[in-house]
Amino acid sequence: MHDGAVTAFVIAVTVVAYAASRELFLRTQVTLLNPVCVSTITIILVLLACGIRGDQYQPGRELMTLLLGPATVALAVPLYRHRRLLVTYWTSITLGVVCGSVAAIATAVLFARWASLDRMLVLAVAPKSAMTPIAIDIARILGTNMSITAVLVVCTGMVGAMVGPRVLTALRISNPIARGVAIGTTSHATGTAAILHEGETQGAMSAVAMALTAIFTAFVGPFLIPWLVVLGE
Amino acid sequence: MANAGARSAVIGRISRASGINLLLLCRERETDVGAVRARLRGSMLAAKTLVTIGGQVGLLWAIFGVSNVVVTRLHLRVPGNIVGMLLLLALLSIGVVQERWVAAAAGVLTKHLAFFFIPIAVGLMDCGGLLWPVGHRLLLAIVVSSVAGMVVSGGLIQLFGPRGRWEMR
Repeated sequence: MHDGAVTAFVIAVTVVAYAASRELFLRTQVTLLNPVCVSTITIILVLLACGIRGDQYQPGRELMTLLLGPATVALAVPLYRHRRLLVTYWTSITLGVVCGSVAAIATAVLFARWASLDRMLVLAVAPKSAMTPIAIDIARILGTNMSITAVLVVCTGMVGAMVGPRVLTALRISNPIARGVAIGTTSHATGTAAILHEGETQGAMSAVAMALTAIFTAFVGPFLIPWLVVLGE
Repeated sequence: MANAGARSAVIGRISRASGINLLLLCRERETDVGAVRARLRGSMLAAKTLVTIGGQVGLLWAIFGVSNVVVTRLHLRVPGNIVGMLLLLALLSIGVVQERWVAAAAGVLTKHLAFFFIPIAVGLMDCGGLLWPVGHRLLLAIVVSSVAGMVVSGGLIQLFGPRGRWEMR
């Protein structure tokens, strides 16, 4: 196949897979059927079946991720809409986000090192609690694999959405602000969608915490993560 | 008296009914022209929305571009997109950028934000072999770290956070 045709084909496959998996998720509301997860597996299988190599996907990828930068910048708008909440509860939110993020990053690095994972994987798993666009950019700065980080971030969201509310309930963490911030800090958008079912306060808190975790991780992660990795050696 | 009242009520009902009929008739006659006009207006609106969103995406892109230049020039070890996000937040807060200037594009882009992660995650097909043998350990690391983060974050707020008044303002 011609290069341009391959690019057009992979873009079509990606768009169709996204639209279909999104519809599937919206209809079923099953966390395991996360659109990113389902589409990624489907697309890889289709590409393998059609004999398309990874490097042939690259031009299509560049075209499709062209708007990721502006889309990430646009996340300021929901944060701006929640500014009152942020001002009212800034001490609680800051406390939860900063301590929770540091705890999540430190345990991820230390556990991954203890499990004798490859250094590249340790760096890839460390920023997983920040949302995907930030985490992959931190991965790029850390010099590790962005695709692995993207997948780990998605898995983190799914894990948090599935076990998070139950863990919090088991530990008698009942304050809606605490629940929202805890989920937003550790499991970004996927967790936020799950905790939103509990109540509007939890959902809004989670959304705010998610954005602040991304900001905090972006500024602290590129310094803290390599330091933690060296510390364990 | 009662008779006259009943008669006037009947007349009133009839005239009201015919008035409604007349109105319906008028509306029916208008449908052809009205439908065409409505459809035209609809497509004009769609085109206008598309142009608006395009322009707003351009504005967001400009902010992203400026932040990237800042990050490269100052050699910051910080993602350019987060600097852009903070820049937009600052511009919104001081009122240089109005929320409605970016709201439409922001709505569409954040709604479909997950789409952009898929092409990146597909890159896994080149390094999936690296992941399979250690997948369970990575998953365990994710679970341990997520629970630790949650407990620390939620626990601290539960202990020291606001009490009693939890409703949103």
